[in-house]
Amino acid sequence: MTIRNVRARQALGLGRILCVSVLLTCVAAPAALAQAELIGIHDPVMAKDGDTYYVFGTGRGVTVFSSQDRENWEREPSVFDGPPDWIREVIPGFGRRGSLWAPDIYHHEETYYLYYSASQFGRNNSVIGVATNATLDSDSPDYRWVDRGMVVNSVAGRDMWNAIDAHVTHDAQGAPWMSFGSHWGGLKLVRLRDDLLGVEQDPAKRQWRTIAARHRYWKLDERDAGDSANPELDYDELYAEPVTELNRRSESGAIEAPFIFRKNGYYYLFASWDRCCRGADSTYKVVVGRSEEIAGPYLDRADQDLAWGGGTLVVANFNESERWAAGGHNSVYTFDGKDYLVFHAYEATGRGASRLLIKEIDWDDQGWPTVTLSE
Amino acid sequence: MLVAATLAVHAGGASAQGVGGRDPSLILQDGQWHMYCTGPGVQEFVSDDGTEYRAIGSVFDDAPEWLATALPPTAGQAPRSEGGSPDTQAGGAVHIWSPHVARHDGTYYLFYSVSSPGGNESAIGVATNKTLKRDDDDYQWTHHGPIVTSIPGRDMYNAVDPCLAFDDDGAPMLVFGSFWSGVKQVRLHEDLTRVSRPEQWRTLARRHRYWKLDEAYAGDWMNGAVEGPFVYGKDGRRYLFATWKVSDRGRDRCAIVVGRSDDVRGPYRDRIGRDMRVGGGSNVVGGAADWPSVGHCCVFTAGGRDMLAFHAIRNSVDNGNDQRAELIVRPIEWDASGWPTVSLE
Repeated sequence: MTIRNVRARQALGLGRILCVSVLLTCVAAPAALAQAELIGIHDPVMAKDGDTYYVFGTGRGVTVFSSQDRENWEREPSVFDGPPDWIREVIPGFGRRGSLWAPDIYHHEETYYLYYSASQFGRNNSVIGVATNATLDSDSPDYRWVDRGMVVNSVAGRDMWNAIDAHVTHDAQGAPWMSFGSHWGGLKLVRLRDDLLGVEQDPAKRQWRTIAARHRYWKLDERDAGDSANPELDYDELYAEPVTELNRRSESGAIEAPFIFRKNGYYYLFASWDRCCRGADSTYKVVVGRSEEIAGPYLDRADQDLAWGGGTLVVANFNESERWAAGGHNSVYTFDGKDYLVFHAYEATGRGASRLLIKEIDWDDQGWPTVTLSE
Repeated sequence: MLVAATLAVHAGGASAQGVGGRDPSLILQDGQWHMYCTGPGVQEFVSDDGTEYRAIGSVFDDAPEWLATALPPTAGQAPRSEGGSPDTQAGGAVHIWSPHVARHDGTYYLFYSVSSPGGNESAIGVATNKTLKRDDDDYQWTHHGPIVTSIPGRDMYNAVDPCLAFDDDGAPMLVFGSFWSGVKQVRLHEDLTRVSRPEQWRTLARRHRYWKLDEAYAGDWMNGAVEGPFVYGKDGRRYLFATWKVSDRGRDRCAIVVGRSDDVRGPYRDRIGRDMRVGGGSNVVGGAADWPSVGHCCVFTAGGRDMLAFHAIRNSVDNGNDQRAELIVRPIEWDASGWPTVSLE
């Protein structure tokens, strides 16, 4: 199997401008990485097919790695050669070489569903699409990714949410749901069609809900994510300078990357707060709340509603870590009876590359998850 | 020929027409005035002189077909002030809110909304006709829709109170909204029956709303109470009229406000330059002793005079909780700076 030689860009070097395009480190690497070396990834999700683990992350056609042991990874073919053509009809400015963000991989009834997002930095003209496959094993004759098109889109000026960062799951009653969102008015939960390829439209069954949000000043322009970083807006015209500065430095509305994990009668909603994508200057962190119903309300350890800014920190010791500055955009899986937090973390040194971390979760006696970094 | 002075006649304490109704929209066809109001199947009134109106009943006998797949069966309730409840089925003719009538390229368009009180599960549709005169051979309404739908938990707007506007190149816009995040504008397809693609949206007016309020909650006098938009073009400008709910000595009442812009897309600013998207709006008519609460206006021109039609609610001590609205028509006074006011005296 050949490893693709992919040209990649780093987040750092672009000053204060957020860059949420490809954030992989250079992956011109030998077929098997040394055991101590962690692969570069952004926004990781995982699945197991047979004896092999697969991890998916942000990348031009969605980046894929495989492993037999969750430590040594080798590069797999990307899901797509490039972004599907229909995306440019919905988002006219989306580039032919644009990267697909924050995938989710979900196995249901013999089929793998790969959800992906396409967007533009600082704007919420975005789409979530889905592709299906019978297997993740690229050597299998049944291996073929089929793009199934759009699941949902967000429109600037219409929607106070951003259609990226999808996560799909079924509730305890077997109904399918998708959580998603980034900045703006927070994270959404929406009932999917039973075929998992679109949002439920029947007025008798459809359901939408905001499940997590952070303070957002009501006077902000609807096209502002909350960080005053939309390149299409003239902030000198929109706001007084101190307001623009405050937005750029504050954590107003900075929440994204939902992931719902069921355990012990609860739905745990994980989310990421604050700033990704700034290398060693990132402030990204994972928080959690829980609910007995999938539609919420999700309350944190202090009974604060995640829709009102609540959230309990999961990885609590980034400030003690010498190796890692920040990290987030997690998923959670159970392997061999143990639960793992799968996420990316930014190195505290060098170029602040984002790397894959898989850490065992400690559940305390109140049922709250924590992860402690060891380096 | 309609004389403006006739419409201005108003005996103290009584509306010019003595007509009960809400959310009026007016148009003239062949010397006859047609006024459409909220009510079962849209309530219609006609007048030959603009002063004496007679009720001629519902425009639509049946619910529009698109309603069955767009909204749940509980949609089509009357507003709460007229006994509507969000929990019961809408029996008989569907109660239709805030009609807006317009004529464009030889066709009459009647925009309307269907909703339930207190929630934003709503939709806006439009019906077309070649004539408004029920005796004409080609009188036949055709429904189109939904044009826009609002879903609780998805949308921070309410798809009610539609109004049509055009930019200087003739591109059509639908302006609508009530509470939540305020008044929205979306570009329409040139056939006026659907939104254009790719979709072009913006907010035109908004008032403070506490960010922690549940998305199912519409708002109140101190949270986002703006609705009933109407865009009027005059002297190269666009005026955005809207209705606010305000609190006055402990009692909620409505008032009509305005802002203006050189572009139909806004920003609309009031007399002191405040953008209507951050709470701006200057008083047009704010109620008087007999009618402390006024709202939901439209503007039309009769005999060369601009007129404001709106409803008023008495809310007097005698009437107690009587929320029945009455229709009022008054001339608009434009001051030297081009700002409109209306007197209820």
